[in-house]
Amino acid sequence: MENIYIGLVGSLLVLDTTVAFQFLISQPLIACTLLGWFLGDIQLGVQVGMYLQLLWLSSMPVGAAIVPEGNLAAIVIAALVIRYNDSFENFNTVLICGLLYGIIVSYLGGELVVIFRKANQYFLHKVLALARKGKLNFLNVINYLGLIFHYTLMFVLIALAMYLGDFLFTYVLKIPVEWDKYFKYVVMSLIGIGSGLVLSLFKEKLYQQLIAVGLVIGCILFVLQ
Amino acid sequence: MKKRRLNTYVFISMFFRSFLIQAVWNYQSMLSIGFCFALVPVANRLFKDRQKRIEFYNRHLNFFNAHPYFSSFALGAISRVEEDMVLEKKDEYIKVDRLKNALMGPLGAIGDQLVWATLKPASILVCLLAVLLIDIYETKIVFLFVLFVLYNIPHLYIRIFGIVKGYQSGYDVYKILKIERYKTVKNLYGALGGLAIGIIISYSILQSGEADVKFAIVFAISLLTAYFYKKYKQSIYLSLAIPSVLALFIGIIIENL
Repeated sequence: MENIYIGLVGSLLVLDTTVAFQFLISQPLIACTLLGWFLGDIQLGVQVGMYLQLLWLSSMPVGAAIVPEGNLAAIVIAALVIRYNDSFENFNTVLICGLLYGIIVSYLGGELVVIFRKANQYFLHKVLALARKGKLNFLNVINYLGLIFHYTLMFVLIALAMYLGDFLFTYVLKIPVEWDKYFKYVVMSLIGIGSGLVLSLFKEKLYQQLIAVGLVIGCILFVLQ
Repeated sequence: MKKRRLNTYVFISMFFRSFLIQAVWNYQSMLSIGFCFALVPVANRLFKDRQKRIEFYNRHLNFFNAHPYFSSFALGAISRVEEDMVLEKKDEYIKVDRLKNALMGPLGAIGDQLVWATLKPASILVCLLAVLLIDIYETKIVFLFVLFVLYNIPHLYIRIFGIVKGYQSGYDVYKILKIERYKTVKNLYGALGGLAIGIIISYSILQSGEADVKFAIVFAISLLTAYFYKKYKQSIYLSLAIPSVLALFIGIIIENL
């Protein structure tokens, strides 16, 4: 039943990605924290959000571009990590297996957005036909229906991803705890992978100079700590 | 000078409706349904005659696309032009279509450059930096609110300013749609983002190196692999998966040496 609740809350957060508001509450840092609070482990939620935040940040939802649903994937990953992390003994294994699974979920989320956008053409034809007949109130109804339709699609994907995740994680939990040390290397590299991807956004020379300044400040901050 | 018909209530209603402008985004007409949905209060206020309202809806259900925040400029300008037509008893609605078509390019280009490529990553990077640097968990939560504020002040400003200025400008709205007008905020956020990513990289490398030099090396290899793979291949999925798998293999090799 908890998977259904995660689906209900998660798809509400995912609406913020493109369909409604766009206040950034769907970003992993905030969404994973809220989900952590909802699932009773807000600290772990913040930690998972921190690791995942940069990974999908470089994909920009420009025009008709299909970008991976990284925010949706982060919600699924955070929920699985909170559920299967066993007193941090297998934290690295669970996080990285969750991430690899999340990459597939983010791809499926992107494909679902294509289906959603194609299906919305049906709404367009409907609203055009109704407008010609003078049934103008339907425009409001159809706009809200589009919102509900997107919410439902995302709910189904998150809930299914959680149930399938539960099945897959029965195998992940069989991975010996001693192997966690291998996965730690990947966890340590996550911020690096995200940073490498985000660097591609800073193309102007001024920003690149500031990145260099930032590198020096980072060293000073580390020494001072 | 005739008394203007559109009032504050109409603009507030349009502002709230603009948050759902992408709810029925589709490949055929893109933003049009959401755009027309946001203009409903204008139609209700300007046209008492049902036939006129039907024509208004059909006009604005045509193809339209823009950045969702910057579409507020089009909403404001179109409201003004439609209102002027009613007040001057003209029906040169071809001009409305022309205006919309002319606005699509600038609204999309400025929005993508300013919001998606600058404000969003910069706000997130500044907040992430704080979350990385600060140990106290309650303070980390405070910085999530900082992220929310840092991003949403310009976000809401664009939406409100767009409707107001668009309405004041009407046909002349294109004069205020120049990226140079946003240069200060773009440079400020871009600088913050650049500094933040620089600090995140060097601080994280040193921190992982403090735990073990091997981690710092893996961190640097992953960063470079992701950067160059994204740069040359553009695939986000493989840019994520390849460095992750590479780091895992390096880990297995190092631990078994």
